[in-house]
Amino acid sequence: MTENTEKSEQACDGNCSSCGTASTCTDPAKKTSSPIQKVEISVKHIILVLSGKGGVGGKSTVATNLAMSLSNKGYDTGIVDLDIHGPNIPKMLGVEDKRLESRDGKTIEPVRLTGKLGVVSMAFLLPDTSSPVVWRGPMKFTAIKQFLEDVNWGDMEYLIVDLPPGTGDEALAIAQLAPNIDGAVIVTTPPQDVAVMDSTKAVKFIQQLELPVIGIIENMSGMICPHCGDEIDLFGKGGGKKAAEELDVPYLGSIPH
Amino acid sequence: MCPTSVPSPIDPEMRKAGDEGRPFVIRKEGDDQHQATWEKVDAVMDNILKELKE
Repeated sequence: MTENTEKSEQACDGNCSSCGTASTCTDPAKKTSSPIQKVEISVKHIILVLSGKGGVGGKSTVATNLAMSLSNKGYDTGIVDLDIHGPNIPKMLGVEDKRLESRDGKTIEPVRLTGKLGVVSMAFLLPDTSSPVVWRGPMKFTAIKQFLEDVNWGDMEYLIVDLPPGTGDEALAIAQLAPNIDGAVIVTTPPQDVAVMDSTKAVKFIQQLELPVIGIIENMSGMICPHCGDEIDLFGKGGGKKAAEELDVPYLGSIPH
Repeated sequence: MCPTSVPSPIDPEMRKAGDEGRPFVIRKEGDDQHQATWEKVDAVMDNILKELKE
């Protein structure tokens, strides 16, 4: 037996329902032991926001923008920041000093930005912004379950889920746990080859999770001049549209810097 | 030539966020003033809602 296998077996407590890697588990006995139950949540629509890779594409910015657009249209909206290791939505929204609180000792209240917009993030639970979260998949799975199940989302109409870069535990967990996911929005950047490559990975990932792909957004598509308001092409354009055409999914539009 | 005397179309709050190193500005509830970036965001969101309805 290899060292890795020994470690893997030591980490397994035999409870698939709390295991973030249950869907990829290669042990047939463990995999079939208990199917993961969907959580009970009364949010009407859940939209995932992801990209094939991260750190440069502005995925969290897009997720936040979309949530604010929805709330501005009058919909009761929430954002859940599932970037457990690098939560930055609170910073973007200027509420990084807030903390999650409970009124009844049972459910967690989302941090309210406006009457129509609430946010939940791991950042609200960390002692400071420099504290790392050193967690394996099962712990992340449990946290994500709590963010869905134990938060008082009420009868919110839309929940925007900002996923971390790539195609890992967090996306698997939300797909397994959330009962009413409408689909995923894929964020990409303008350079065409990169956009197609990254979007392909993300689209295939979502399809493997048997979720609908709502469409592709091209972010950082040009820049609005701060002086004259004209749009300036910085890195070219059209990557998102090309990727959407090649992957046969809807193109949702572009957002400038 | 870009006329620098024209008032900036960027929301002052967005500018402040940029100065503070935040990449984003909070759009206030009910704020529907003309802003080019927001028009694009709203257009994308409308497309998402349209896709969800179909």
